[in-house]
Amino acid sequence: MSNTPAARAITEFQETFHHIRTEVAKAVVGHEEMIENILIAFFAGGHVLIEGVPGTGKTLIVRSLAEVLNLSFNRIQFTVDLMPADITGTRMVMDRDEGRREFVFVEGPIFAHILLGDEVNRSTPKTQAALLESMAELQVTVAGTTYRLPPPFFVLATLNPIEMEGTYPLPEAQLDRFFFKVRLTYPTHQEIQRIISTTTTTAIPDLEPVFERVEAPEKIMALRQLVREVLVAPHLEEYVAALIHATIPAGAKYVSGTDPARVALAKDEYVNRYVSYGSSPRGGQTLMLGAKVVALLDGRANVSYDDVDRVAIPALNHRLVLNFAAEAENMDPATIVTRIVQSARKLRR
Amino acid sequence: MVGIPGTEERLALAEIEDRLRRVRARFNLYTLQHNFYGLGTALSLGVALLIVGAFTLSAWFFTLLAWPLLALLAFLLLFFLRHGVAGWTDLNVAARRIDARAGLKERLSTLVSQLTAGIIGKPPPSSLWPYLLEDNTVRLPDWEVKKIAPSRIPWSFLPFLAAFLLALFVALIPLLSPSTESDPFSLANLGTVLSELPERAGQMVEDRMSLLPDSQDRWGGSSMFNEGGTKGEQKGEKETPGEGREQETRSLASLPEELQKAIRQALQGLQDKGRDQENQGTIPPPHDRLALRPSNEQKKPDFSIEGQNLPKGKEQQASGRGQGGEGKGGPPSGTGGNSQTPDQGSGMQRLDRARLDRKNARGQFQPDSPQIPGSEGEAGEGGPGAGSGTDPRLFGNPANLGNGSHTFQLALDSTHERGESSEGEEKDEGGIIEKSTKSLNQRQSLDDAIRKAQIPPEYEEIVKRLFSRGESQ
Repeated sequence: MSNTPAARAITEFQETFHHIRTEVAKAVVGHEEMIENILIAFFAGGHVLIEGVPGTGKTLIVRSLAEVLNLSFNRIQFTVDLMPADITGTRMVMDRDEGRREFVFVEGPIFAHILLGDEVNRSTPKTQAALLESMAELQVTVAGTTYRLPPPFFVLATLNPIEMEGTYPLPEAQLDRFFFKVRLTYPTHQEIQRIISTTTTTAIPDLEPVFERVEAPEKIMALRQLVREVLVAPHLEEYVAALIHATIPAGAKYVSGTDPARVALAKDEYVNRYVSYGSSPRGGQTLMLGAKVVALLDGRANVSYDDVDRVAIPALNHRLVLNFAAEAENMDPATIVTRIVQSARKLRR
Repeated sequence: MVGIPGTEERLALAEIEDRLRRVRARFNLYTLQHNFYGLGTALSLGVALLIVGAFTLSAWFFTLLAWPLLALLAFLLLFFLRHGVAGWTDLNVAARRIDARAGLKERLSTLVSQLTAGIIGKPPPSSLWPYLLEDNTVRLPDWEVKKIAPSRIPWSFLPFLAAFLLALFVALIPLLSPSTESDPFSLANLGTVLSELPERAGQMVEDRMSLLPDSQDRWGGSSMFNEGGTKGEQKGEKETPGEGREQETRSLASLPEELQKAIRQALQGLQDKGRDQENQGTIPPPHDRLALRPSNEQKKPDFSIEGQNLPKGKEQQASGRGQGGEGKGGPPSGTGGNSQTPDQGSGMQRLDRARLDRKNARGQFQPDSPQIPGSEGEAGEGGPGAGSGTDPRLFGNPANLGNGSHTFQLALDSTHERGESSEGEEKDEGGIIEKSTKSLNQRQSLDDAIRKAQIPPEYEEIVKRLFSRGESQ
C-alpha cells in the first residue's frame, strides 16, 4: 500500500490501538477481548458499562487505560448518599481578595477525560441521571450555567451483579446511553496464576503513555474523527437496520405495522418469547461506529458484515429489555443477540 | 498521466468498472442459462409425459393428465421468468457477489456504491476514499474473471440435457417401433427398441437424411397415385386431382427457366435412349410402380414438369390416350407422332418411358405396363409404348385433365417387388398403391432395394449436374 495520507492515518490508528492494548495488558492479566471492546468504544466516542464480580480488575483496567492514554482521570465511588452535585460540581461562596464574596463554580469529578463510576447502581436515580446526562450531552448545567466537558470524555461505569440489595438498577433509558456493556468474566486458571505472580512482588508494571499529555486529547479526537470517515455501503446500513429490527419482538408496542423492513428478517423465536422491548436506533449507531473501528483495525476503509457482527453482542445485549420469562429461565441477552446475528447471515447475499 | 490530478484514480476506477461489468455479464449469462435450462428441463419432462400419456392413457385420462400438467408448466414458466428477472444483477449486486466470493470484505461493493452514487466529479465523500480505491486496485488479482465468474455452462445444463434426451427418446419410440405395435411404450416393445436401438436409429436417421425418396407413407401421399385413390378416400376426396398436381409441380415451376429447360432436355435424352432399348425389346413391361416423392422438397429435386410450361402440348396430351390407341406400328408417339415436336404431344409418353427406363436400369422390379389394359388408351399393335395411352392413375381422373392445369410429372420411381408387398397394399385400378405408413421393415427393404439398384451413369450425371446447378442458383 502506498504512503498516502489516508494510508498513514489508518496505519497510525492501528499502531496506536495496538500500543494501548499492549500497555494495558502489562497491568491487566487476561481480559484481552474486554479491553479491546473498551478501546473500541473509546475510539468510537462511547461510554462503557462494565459488569463483573468484585476483584476481576474493573478498576485496574480503567486506571491503566487512563495512564496509558495520558489523560486526566477521576473516580467516583457511587453510594446511596451521593448527590448530583458531588458529581457535577457546585457553586460555592468564595472570599475574594478585596473582601468581596461571590459564587464560584467548583468542578466536580466529572470534569476529567476518563471517569470511573464505580458501582453506579448503588446511587440514587437522581445521581445516576446527573451522570448519564453528562455522558449524553457532554456538558454539565449547574445553576443555569452550562459547562462543557473536556473532550475526549470517556465514562467507564461498573456494575456489581451481586449484593443487589439496596441498589438502584439503571433504567433502560439510561442503559441505552452506554455504548457497550462489557462483562468481565472470571480469569482462567493460568490468568489467576499470572495475576498472583505479577501483583505480589515489589515490581510494579511501568506503563508507558502512548501520547504526550498535552497533545493526547487532540490526537485522540483526531483518531475518533478518522473512525467516522470510514465508508459504509448502503447494504451494510440495511444490514444494521435489519439487525436492530430483528431485536424487536413481533407484536411489540410502538411498532409500525406497515414497516416493510420488518419482513426482511424473520423474528427469532427467542426474541418473541423473551424480549419485551428491542433495541433503540441508538443501538444501530453503536453497531455502525463500533464496526468502523473494527474496520480500521483490520486496515480497511470500509465496513464489512463481519465488523458489524463482531460488535453486535456488546452493543446490543444491554439494549434488550427481557421479560419475566427470560428472567425465570435465566436467559442471557447475549444468547438472543447471537441467534439474531446468525439468522441475519442470509441477508449477506 | 503524471501531473493531471485525479487521472490515476479515474484509470483505476475504469479498470475496476470494466472488470466488474465483465463479471456481471457472466453472472447474468449464468442466471439466464440456469433459468432457461430449468424451464427446458420442466418442459422436456412435461412433453415426454404428454407423449407417453397420449399413447398409454385413454382420452379421458389423458385430458385429466394434460390440463394439470399444462397448468404446472405454465406456472413453471412464470416461476422461471420471475426468478430470472429477480436474479438479474446490477453493478451493486455483482460487486456484493464478488465480495462474497473473493473474500474482499465489502471493499468492492463499498467502492461501487460510491461510484453509483455519483462520486465522479464531486468531492470525495471521505478522506479515506483514496485508500479504499487503492485497496481495491491492489486486490484486483483476487477477483479475476476466471476465478470469480460462474462457469459458462451452469450445472442445470446436465439435468436439462438428460430431460431433453429423455423427451427425444420418448418421442422416437413410436417412430422406432413397428407399426403393428399397438402400445409402443409397453415394456416388451421398449426392450425390443432398446436392444435394437442403434440399428433402428441408424436406419431412421439414414432414411431421414437420405436424398432418396421417402418412406412409403410419403408415397401414399403422392398425388400421382392417390389423388383419386387411397389418399382421396382417406381424405374423403376433398382434394381434386388437379390441385394435388399443382402442389406437386410447384417446385419445378419455381426453378429458373434455364434449369427447367435443362431438365427437359435431359429427360428427353433418356427417353430417346429408352425408346431405342424399348424397340429392341429389352425392357420388360413395368410390373409395379410407386411414385417416390421426396419428403423434403427443399433438399430433394422434384422431377415434375409443369405442363403449363409446355407449349400447346397440353390439349393434345389430354387426349393423347385415345389417340395413342390408334397408332399402329408407328413411332412410339401418339397419333400426331411425327408431326409433333418432342415438347408437344409426345411429351407424356416420353416422360413415361424415361421413368420406366430408370426402373429397368435399377433392375428392382418389373414395372407394369404404363398402358392400361382394356382402357380406351390401349397400346397399339406396334408394341409397348407405341401409341400408348397414359395410365389414368398417373394423372387422376381424365376428366379433370382438361379442366385444370395439365402437368407432366416425373418422379424417381422405385418400388417393392410384388412378393414383398405389405398388407397395406391396396389395388386400385390394376395398380398397386402402398398404404402402409409406418412400417419400418418396408421402408428398410425399400431403401435396400434402392441402394442395391444399378443407376445408369447418365442419370447420375444428370442428377449431379442438376443439383449442382440448383445449388448454384
